[in-house]
Amino acid sequence: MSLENAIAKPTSCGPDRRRLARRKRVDVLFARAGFLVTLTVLSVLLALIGQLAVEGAGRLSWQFLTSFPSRFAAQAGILSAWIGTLLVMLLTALVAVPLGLGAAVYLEEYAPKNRLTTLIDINIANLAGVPSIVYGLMALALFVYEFRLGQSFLTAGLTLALLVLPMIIIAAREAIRAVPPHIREAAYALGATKWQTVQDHVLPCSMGGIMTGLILALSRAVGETAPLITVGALSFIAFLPHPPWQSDFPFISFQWMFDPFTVMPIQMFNWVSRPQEEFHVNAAAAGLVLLFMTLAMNALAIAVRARFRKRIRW
Amino acid sequence: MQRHFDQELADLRTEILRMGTLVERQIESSIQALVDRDAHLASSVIERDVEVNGMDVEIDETCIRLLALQSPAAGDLRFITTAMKISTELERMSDLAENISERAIELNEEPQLKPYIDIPRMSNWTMRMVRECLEAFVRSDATLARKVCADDDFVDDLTHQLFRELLSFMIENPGTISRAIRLTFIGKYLERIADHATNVAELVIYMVEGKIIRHTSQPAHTDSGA
Amino acid sequence: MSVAVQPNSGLKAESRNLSFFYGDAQALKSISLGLPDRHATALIGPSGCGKTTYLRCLNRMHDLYPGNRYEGELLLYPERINLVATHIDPIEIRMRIGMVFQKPNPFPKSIYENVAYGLRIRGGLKRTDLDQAVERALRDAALWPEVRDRLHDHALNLSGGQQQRLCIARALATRPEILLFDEPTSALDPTATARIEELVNDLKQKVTIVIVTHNMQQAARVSDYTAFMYEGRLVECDRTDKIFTNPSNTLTEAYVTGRFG
Repeated sequence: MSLENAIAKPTSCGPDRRRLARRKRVDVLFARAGFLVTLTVLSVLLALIGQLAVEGAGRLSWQFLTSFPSRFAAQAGILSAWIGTLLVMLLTALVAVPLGLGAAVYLEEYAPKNRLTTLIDINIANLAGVPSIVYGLMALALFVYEFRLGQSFLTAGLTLALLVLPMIIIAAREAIRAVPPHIREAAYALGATKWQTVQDHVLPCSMGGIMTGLILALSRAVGETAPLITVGALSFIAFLPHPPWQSDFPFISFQWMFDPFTVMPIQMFNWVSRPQEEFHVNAAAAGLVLLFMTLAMNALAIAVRARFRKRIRW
Repeated sequence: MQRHFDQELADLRTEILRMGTLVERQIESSIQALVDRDAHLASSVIERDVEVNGMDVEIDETCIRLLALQSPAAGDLRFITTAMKISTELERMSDLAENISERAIELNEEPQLKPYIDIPRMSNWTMRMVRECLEAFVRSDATLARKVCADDDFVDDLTHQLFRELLSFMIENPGTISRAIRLTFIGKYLERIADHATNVAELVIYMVEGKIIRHTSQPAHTDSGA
Repeated sequence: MSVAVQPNSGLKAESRNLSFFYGDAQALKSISLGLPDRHATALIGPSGCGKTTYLRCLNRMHDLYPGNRYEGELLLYPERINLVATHIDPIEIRMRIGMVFQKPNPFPKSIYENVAYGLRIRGGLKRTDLDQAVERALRDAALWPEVRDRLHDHALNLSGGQQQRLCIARALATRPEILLFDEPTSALDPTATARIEELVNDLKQKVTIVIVTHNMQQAARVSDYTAFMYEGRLVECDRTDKIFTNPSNTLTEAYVTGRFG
């Protein structure tokens, strides 16, 4: 079968083969380099965790988790710290999520594409990069003094909410933008209003991405120390805040929001700054707990995202 | 944009023309065989009819293939369906030429009845109609086609004239009956060839204008045309 | 310049000198076209001729994107409402005129929820009525026998052809007066295409249909009237059999015989 007039030509010509071999070599080289880089990163991570574990794992105990801080290292615990972290996270989420989602939905679905919107876009992107201590300073001036909210949980929650708000808005916008236009068009073609389309289709479809963004933003907030120090987190709180319930009407108390607060990173920082070795061990143990809390939140993010991805496919 | 399909349409047109030319020759030869009392020529006409039949089948197959594979529309569709029908008309014309030749051979067994004047006149007229209807097809000329339709009347008149003349022969002299009847048949065959040429012309008008005027009584007028 | 034959049956909608602009670019140039009631009209023409643009004017889909402008009239009968007038609410129009898109786009929900959505957003239907309406729509779309036992399965588990029939059922559930098809079979295999064409042939007796298609044979098989558009203008509109056997315009003839486009 002659190949004279055909388009295909035999591939076993000399120069082609050499070039092919060279391409394959580069390919393999890159694969190996990538593997080495990954290995390096993993080793660093393991080293960090290992260091913490070696130092602090022995200190982990029920007593550690349920005691208040104390001048004596052996009796000190992180109860007020981790409860404080949880409560601050709760407040942060309660403030940041509706604001962030609302802003993202408005900007993606409703806002007209004009100069004002572009300006808003740029500003949000900038805010995401502002150093967190600047947020702390602003919060100090605004919440603590101007609004007289004091150095309280409420202030901490609001501060961190403002800090993570740009991240949430950006992540939510990306998720909303990823919903393909044909889903929207299908809804509109049936006579749905914009809000019905957003509520019934856009948000459910983007919920996976939104949740991922939310939980990642909150994970970051868990570790923020600088702004909280600025707004007056205490490092020695030997009591829990007021409970959120009360015996008479309306049975819910908001008193706890105005109580003084502390969080895990601050407690750790305090212990690490002390000269005694035992407090360093405490700090390492607290670090392990904080790491665990962060990993738990990330795992939650992955689980939620997976659940949403299973239901929504296009 | 010249397409492969356009070449196939051109080839189809050429094939029809070739068949038409052959059929014209068949008619001419059959009348020639009658006038010259040439049995040999008459036999060759009869033999060649097979060739015409073969061309008819080929053209049919080509048209069906084009319809199946190309899904033609509008002008192309009308051209192909018209070509199929024209091929059938041409094949009938050749059959009639074969019939003329058969009668001619039979007539050779007896002396010539009379000088042949009307029959050659009819055949010339008819052959011109055949030639013109094919020309109208090739040139997509509806005006020429309408003229061919009008020319049919002359052939019809000549046929009646021929019949009356032969009838008088038969009445005067019963011995001429067998020859006269055969000559009547030949006149009839020529008249039918002319009818087929008219059919071809009507098909050409459909092909060009998209109007079906067959089986109506007003073929000769260019009425509210496109 | 265009030849538009008024159909014998009454019109459901009619555009009069309808022009459409994407910003400054004029995509439709003074289109005057009648859409006969309960018949199928096909829009054919080369890419970019404006047939999809015209289709999307009918249900004001262009309003979803900024910078678009209509001129002229697009009348809906029998009330003679001008669909492109600014005071007319596009949502109301889309409740009366449904659309099926090129690529099947069911919602990522169950089959039942897909069909019921159009009815849900209008509100006011009890569960039993909803069930009946969903069944009726699925029957009209020739999909009921295949999904009756799995109404709560995820819609995206269906094959491409089934998904498109689901989208048709979804559009039919709200009993639209006009159903618009935007190249509904271009993403489907020949068997699925044939089923959808059968469906359109059945549906056109009950609802006015406008179908945009690149496939001329499909337009020939499925529609009663065909409109040929070119570069934003209507060139010719006539009964489908006439367009495909003897069109009046040479440009139409050239397109229909495949000599360009």
